[in-house]
Amino acid sequence: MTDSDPPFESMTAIGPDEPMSDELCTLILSLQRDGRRLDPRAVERAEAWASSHPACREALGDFAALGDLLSSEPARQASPGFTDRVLNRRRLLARGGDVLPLLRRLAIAAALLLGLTVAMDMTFPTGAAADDELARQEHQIDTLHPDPFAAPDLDGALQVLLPDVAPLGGDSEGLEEPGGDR
Amino acid sequence: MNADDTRLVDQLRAGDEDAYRELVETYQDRIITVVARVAGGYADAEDLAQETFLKAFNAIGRFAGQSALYTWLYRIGVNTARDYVAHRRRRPAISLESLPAGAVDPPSGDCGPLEGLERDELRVRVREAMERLPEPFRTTLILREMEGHTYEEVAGILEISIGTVESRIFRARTKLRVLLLADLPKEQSD
Repeated sequence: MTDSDPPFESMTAIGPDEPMSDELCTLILSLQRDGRRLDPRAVERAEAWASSHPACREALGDFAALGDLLSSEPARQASPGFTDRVLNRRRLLARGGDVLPLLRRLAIAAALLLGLTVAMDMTFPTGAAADDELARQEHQIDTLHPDPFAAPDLDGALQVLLPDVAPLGGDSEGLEEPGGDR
Repeated sequence: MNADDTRLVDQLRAGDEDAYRELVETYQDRIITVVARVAGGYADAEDLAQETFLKAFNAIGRFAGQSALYTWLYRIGVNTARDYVAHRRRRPAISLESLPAGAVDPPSGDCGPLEGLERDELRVRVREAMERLPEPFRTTLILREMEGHTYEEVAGILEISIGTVESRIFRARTKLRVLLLADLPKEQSD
């Protein structure tokens, strides 16, 4: 090896004193066949070993046969329209990518609005006033039916609800429909 | 990264529709082939290839350009197929240490015993045996023997050292041979 040669790139920087075996011999020579740069002394020793050890040569022969077979496995081809399917999918996802941030922003805005409403309600409670108004209306209804079996006191109820209107009965002028004496 | 890759990457980053098409049309067959081989019979290779390209489109902004574009794309494809297999594998791979030692003793002679089998028969057996290899060894061997990548390219795709590639390829070949030879005596006695 000259000074200009690149350094050994193999993890199997096998030294000249490495005890040889069928496995090591097969490793060295298979790496060499694959074009890996190895210590020439190691390669020389492996070749010498292989010449007298058929198991190493057989393994290398099988490796070569397997390599030929694997490399001749047919390649796949894309079906017609594959490119368009990929690009359509990309566009679809890109649109989804545009819409999702908008939806996310809307959801955040809605949550903030809800939180603000709750905070305002807690700061300025209006529940008591509403309760009072409801109670007043319920009492007014009670005047219509103070007793479930009694006749409704319409006049009393109307007086409560509409204090400015004259009670029914005596003076019903203006309330009767035209032609009501039929 | 060469000039063509640089131009294409720039166009992809700019969202150029023609660049997306160029990337897919240039690499679709190779990506479909490699994901089909890595995933074996477990998946629709075109689905995995489509996922590969979509991941690449999304990640193109993070592509540093320290490797060739196709190496980077291969890495995404191989990892997509490996992830799929890891979640879907039905038949467990056997351990490298679990084979009977006697199964590797071949008959004497310079011609390996596998070389004596009919090619079609051997092809079927090899496919079955490949499916049984542990995943890291199988993928490494696929990239080397079937895809024809150099050791350096395999190391780049799998993001492992050259030494690991050498070790895995040797062990994968040995394992594959052992698996095939293990069935030979039984078959021959039938």
